[in-house]
Amino acid sequence: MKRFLANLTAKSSRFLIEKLKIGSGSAFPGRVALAIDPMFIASYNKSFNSGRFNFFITGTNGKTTSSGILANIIKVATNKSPISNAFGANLYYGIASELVNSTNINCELSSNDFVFEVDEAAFRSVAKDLKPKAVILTNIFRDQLDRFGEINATQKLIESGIKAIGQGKTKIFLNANDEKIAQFEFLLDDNFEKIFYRVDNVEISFKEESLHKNEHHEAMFTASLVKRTVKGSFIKLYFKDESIDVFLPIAGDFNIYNACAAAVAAFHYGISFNDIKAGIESYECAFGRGEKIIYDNKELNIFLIKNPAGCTEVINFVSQFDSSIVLIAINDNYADGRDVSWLWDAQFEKLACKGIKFVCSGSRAYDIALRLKYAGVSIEDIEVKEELIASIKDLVVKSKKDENLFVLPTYTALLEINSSSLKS
Amino acid sequence: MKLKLGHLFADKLNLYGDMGNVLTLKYRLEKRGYEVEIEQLNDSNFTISNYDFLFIGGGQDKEQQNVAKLLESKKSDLSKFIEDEKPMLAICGGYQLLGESYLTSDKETISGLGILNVITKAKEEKNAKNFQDRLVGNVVAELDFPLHIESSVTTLVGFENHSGRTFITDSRTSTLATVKLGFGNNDTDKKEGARYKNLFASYLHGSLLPKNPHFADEIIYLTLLAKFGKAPELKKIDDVIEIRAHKKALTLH
Repeated sequence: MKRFLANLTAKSSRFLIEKLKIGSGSAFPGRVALAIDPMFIASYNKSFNSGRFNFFITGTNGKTTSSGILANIIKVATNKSPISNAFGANLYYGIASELVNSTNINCELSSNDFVFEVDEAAFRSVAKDLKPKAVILTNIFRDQLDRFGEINATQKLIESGIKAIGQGKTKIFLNANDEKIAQFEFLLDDNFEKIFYRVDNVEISFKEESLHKNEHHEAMFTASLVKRTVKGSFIKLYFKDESIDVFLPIAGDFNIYNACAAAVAAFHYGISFNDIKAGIESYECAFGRGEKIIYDNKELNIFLIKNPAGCTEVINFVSQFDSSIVLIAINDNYADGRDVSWLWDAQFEKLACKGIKFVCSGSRAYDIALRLKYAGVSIEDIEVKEELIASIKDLVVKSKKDENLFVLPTYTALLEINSSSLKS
Repeated sequence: MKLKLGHLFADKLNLYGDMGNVLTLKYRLEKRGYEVEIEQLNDSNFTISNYDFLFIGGGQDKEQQNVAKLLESKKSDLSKFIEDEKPMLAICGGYQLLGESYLTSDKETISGLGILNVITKAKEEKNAKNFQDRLVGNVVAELDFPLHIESSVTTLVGFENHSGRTFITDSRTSTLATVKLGFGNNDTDKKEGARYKNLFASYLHGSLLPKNPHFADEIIYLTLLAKFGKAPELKKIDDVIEIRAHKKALTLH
């Protein structure tokens, strides 16, 4: 009864937010529901565990893309979309909101399959409430240390979350290329089934390479890069003597890891290689993860940047193109990380001396301008315009026809773009 | 004219963009016509007297303790470096491990190198006013000493993120700056950083030197003075972006 009331009130609140246009309010219905029924999420534990698939995905980078690909693979394999927080509302309230969105007035869920990406900090509380059958771990990088203090703290948050799931054989999917993730082999006892996946020929900037990468490789689910293109990557997935060629329609080497994480989980739950291929190939990327916006007949390529490792991967991608204009928008709100020190750990040096023109924007525009200057970019090629949307429009107007336009926003800058007149 | 900058344990203590400090010194020295070599000193296999400037950054607690052990054999060389008035900059974890000791939250005392007369305690009593677990946020502080170089700004700006509270234990050691925004060394005395001769220690990330070009130039001045034995003339260089970034940081909260 309490849950019914919580759900009903939360639904009305969402309706009101949408009518009154007071922000996107993605976490607000969840707040309302939990205020009325603190056990709101936990009350779905049974439904959550009655379906064939219930996945949690956590880690520093790649949560949104890997959960998006996995949800799409499940949709292809079952002809029905699983419940998934595709828009990245991945904190405790956000998960509650997703449950509100996915139920009818009688609290009946639209599906019994789930793919939830969960923020590292919220992971323990949500895992305790819903007790997932499978957890996919992507990677642990330095991210927003003003939130967690230290990298090891992130590993501990995830560890305590997994241990909160408790009894039963929960499957844990581990990225063998990332030492901080591979260590879970020893942090977790036999109550957890540990399954490794890896990418065998693409390195991304994991701090220390894991020793597990080359162990038992015949038995490890693997992705290999075959060919990079602007539109995406040709990859091969293989496990034992089975393999398949797949086109991953989002560019960037880091997305091969995301596709592999999604594929290994789907495969272990009995989805065929053919369905996995179809799910990956028909995936449409989430906003800000390589999505394109067409404005005034020009194409803007949007890549979210939020920490040094992810940012360096985006830099590697952008640096492959000649004659580009790159707009970098740095905000320092809580959701971006208040500390902009991380800009000094991302390898902007790779963008210097390539004839790229830069526009620096956002509330910390001068910090990124300074970073570029000390990375070796000539100051004539650095323009600073703090007001974001105006600077993007100006960039589009001034750009030449054959120039590639890249926009690299932090999280709240991305939200600003998303709700602006650029997206219509 | 060539200068050698040693970056101590860059592989272990490099968590908060502190690399920017070394890049800034290199850039600003090169603009003045000096040749600069940065060496990352990642094991114990180096000779401290070969360097004209030393930098040590911050890292996780575990790494800090490893580094303190590795540096133990260099203690007398490092001490001589500082007594000879050669400049060194230590940030956050590097600051703490150069001190006398670190008192953990379990009341265990970990010895530091004892190069700098400060002690660090894990945290204040829980009933202290404005208690916070970690001291995190933007910092604005007014420099406590006059600069040799000409400068339009006399503030330091940066971002702090530390659980240790540091206290100066000796009158020969002074503070770097007086805090206007944020915490600095600890919850109570509104002071940031420490200075002994030309050893500068601070909790500020950001990185510190890029947005504080006057402080970077002061370190450069002292490095050249120690190396060549006479007061250098520092040519003015284009600082428009640096000063705007500094002034923006003054308006943060």
